Amino acid sequence: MHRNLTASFILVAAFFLLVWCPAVNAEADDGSDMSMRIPDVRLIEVDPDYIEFDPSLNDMVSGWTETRTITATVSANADWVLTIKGGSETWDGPYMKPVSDIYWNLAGGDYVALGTQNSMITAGGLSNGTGYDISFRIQLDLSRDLPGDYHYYDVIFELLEP
Amino acid sequence: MITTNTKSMRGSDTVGMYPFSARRFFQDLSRNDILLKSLIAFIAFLILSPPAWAQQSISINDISIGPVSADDFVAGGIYIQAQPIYWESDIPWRITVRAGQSNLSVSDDGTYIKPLSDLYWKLTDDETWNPMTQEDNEIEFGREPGEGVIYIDFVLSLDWMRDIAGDYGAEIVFTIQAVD
Repeated sequence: MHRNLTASFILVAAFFLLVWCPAVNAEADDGSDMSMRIPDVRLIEVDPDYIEFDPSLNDMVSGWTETRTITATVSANADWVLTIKGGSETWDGPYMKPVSDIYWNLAGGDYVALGTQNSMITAGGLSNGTGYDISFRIQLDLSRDLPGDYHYYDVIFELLEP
Repeated sequence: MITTNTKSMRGSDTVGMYPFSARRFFQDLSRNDILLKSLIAFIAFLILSPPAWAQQSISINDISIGPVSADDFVAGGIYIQAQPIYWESDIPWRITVRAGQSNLSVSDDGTYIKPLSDLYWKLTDDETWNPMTQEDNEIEFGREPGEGVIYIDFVLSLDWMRDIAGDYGAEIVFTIQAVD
């Protein structure tokens, strides 16, 4: 009797084990490790990328052109500093008009003469397309500014790590 | 009469222990209706349940995404296209996907946990993006046994205002199972 019970138990156990086998055997999985590095990312876009001045006689007398404004749009996932500098010491033109004749300001602030070293415009943190209006005007001098076309290339904006 | 050698079983209780005898087993079987029915049921089960020996496999490569760029942020996310998932099954099958963890890890400075809800998936041929969760989500199923490859796209959404520097990621688990 005891042996019959034991044998029966073995069979019943085997039966239930096999009942569960489909769930165990008929399944497989695989893991895919997905990884990415997000670094500090800073983006600046300037619009328009070209501005033109057309000084009048009154401008020549007053010593200043009209203002022109560009918008610098900042996006960043980290702290940043927005800077400006000139790409060369002088304009291309009839005479070596200095870069310092270009003045800029931020949103109606004081005008600052442009140089070839970075000047900070403003700073910030996480940003998603924040626009900053930067105005320019050119200093004129009847005693120096010979007639002709002047070009200044590369007013450089940079978004830097603080 | 079956006897046991208690001398060779030092430290054991010999009550109820006996060597197995096939002859005795079949004698018992012929006398015991319950045992016989159990055996018949057992054999029937073996015959009628092929899934007990079903073979299924699935594999996918790891996905390493290069450093995220400003263009990825501007696009709103980084897209990983047409990742192949190789499967094999000799029974009707279904493939599911789930994330192995509840988030996409932590920023370098520890102040930000990128949520799992920033990760979406879809079959390459489909249009609809599905949020990745820790629950099994069915990707595809088939009634026909065989082997094949299905392609899946992922997108990791990016937000300038949240996604600060860090190493992010998750284990994505693909499972192939029998279809009921």
